Amino acid sequence: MLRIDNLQAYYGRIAALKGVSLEVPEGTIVALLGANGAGKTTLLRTISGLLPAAQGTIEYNGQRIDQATPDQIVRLGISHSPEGRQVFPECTVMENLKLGSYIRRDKQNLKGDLDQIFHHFPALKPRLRQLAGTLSGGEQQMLAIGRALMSRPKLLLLDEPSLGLGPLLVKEIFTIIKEINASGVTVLLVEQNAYLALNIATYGYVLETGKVVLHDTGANLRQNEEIKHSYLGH
Amino acid sequence: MGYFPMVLHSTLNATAEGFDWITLGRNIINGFSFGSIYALFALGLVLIHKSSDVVNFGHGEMAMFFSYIGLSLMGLLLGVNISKPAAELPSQLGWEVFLPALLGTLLFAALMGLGIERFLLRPLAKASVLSQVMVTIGIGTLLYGLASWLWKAEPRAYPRIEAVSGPPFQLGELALTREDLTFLSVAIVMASGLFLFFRYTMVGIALRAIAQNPFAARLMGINVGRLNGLAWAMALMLAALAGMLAAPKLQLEPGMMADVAVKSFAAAVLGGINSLSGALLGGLLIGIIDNLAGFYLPDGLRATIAFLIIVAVLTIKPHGLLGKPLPKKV
Ligand SMILES: Nc1ncnc2c1ncn2[C@@H]1O[C@H](COP(=O)(O)OP(=O)(O)O)[C@@H](O)[C@H]1O
Ligand SMILES: [Mg+2]
Repeated sequence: MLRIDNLQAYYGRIAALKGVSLEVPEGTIVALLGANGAGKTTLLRTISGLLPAAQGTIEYNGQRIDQATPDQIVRLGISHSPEGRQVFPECTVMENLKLGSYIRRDKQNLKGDLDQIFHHFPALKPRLRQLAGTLSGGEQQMLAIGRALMSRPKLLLLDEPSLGLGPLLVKEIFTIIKEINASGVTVLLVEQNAYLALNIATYGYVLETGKVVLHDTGANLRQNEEIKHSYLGH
Repeated sequence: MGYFPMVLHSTLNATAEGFDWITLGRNIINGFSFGSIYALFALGLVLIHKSSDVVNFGHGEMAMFFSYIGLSLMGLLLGVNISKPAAELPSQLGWEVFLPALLGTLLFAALMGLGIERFLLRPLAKASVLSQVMVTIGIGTLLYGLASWLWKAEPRAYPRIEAVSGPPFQLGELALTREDLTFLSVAIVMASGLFLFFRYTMVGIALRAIAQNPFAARLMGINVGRLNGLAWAMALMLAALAGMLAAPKLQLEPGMMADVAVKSFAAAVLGGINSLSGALLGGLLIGIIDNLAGFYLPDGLRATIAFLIIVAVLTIKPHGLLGKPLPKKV
């Protein structure tokens, strides 16, 4: 579904991605692991068209998207829930969700989509009229994912959905990510919490200073000594 | 710039002999009237600031330029070339001339707004807000020069709308002119319309989203540049409307809006630079305070008192009367 080949991206003159290649097959959850500063967020931003690709290609269902604009990419069915949630704090929960469906022409299905979101995140339902800035961290994370789902994506990019949340909430979020995937959405999941990510991922890539240094199935990576040592805290 | 014609108080000033309620009432009505114009300006300033963080320091000159464009269109419809020095238009015009001229001017203003955003500001989006503000000052200065050159600097009368110049309504001894009422209702209708627009339309909500987090707004598939252009177009159409309404009350000349612009900036800041209802409230308050000060205070204090009050309010409410703290940029 998504095929990235030799991708390079820069912040000014500093290379943040130095030739990344990876693949996300349809229907899977692919985990993208790596230490802070490895370039995971940069990779998602480049896929979304927020950051230009300096070299290399991004193909989505066989179509080149590395020169496309963010709104074209959302329209193609790629949705991005960014690091740090980035909900619109002065908009209500409802408005945030509506903004998620901004590119959709068939607005009459809004109600059905909302029901789908509440099915995954029942905690949001009583808070529809509340300003997003007044939600707890966990609720904001749910809103950020829910907002990303409102465009009816085929591929969902999730950047550190567990960041700053307590262990119970993290478990809940990961269960929901599995649910979302089971409903037919392919997921590219960025995580520092490698253990949790590899538990639900079909396949995993490890990024280090802008390069892929390791990739394997989720099960194999869980057994990998290097991974255990660096990321699983053994 | 730095040119502040003091024509605003000319209607009322003459007979200050002690205090009486009727005079106070007249001053307040007149304050509402000018305040409505400030409010229309301030609404445009807030609109631009909400979407792109820029304060448009050329707003006054743009409104002035639109007033001239409006006059030219009226002239065109009546077969008078207004750039000739001797050209005269009737002092009152019917809707059949005013309305097409207004619509043409609004179209011109919208195109200018789109053009400014697309070709002058968007290329500077990565630069500091200060450079973008400099560009707006530059446009203002350019329009001032262009107007002086195209239409000469001599002040000239601006036609009133016939339907709006009928006899005033009497409230006891207080006269409420149709013009005053028109200004006030236009300002209120525009402020409420914008409020509803930002509250209930997808485009309005998207504009608010851009103001809060442009990065996340792009992730929603919102075309930030195009919507900022729309905000500029709407703001300049408000300026054109305010300009064409106010021009008969002021006098058409290149410096006509300098004073109005300064007071409108003050109004926007007083109300809260990101609040539409604040712009309306701020505009009306400045209009009233300014008129009262102009009447009851010695000449030297007149120009300063409104600003003293603003400074006092801002020390207590730094974000303005109805403003909220600006969200931190990510
Ligand atoms: N906006 C930015 N400007 C300049 N450098 C950045 C910016 N964002 C990230 N970087 C740098 O790019 C590298 C990759 O960062 P990032 O993609 O955020 O890593 P990760 O998400 O894996 O923690 C880091 O060295 C970081 O310092
Ligand atoms: Mg990151």
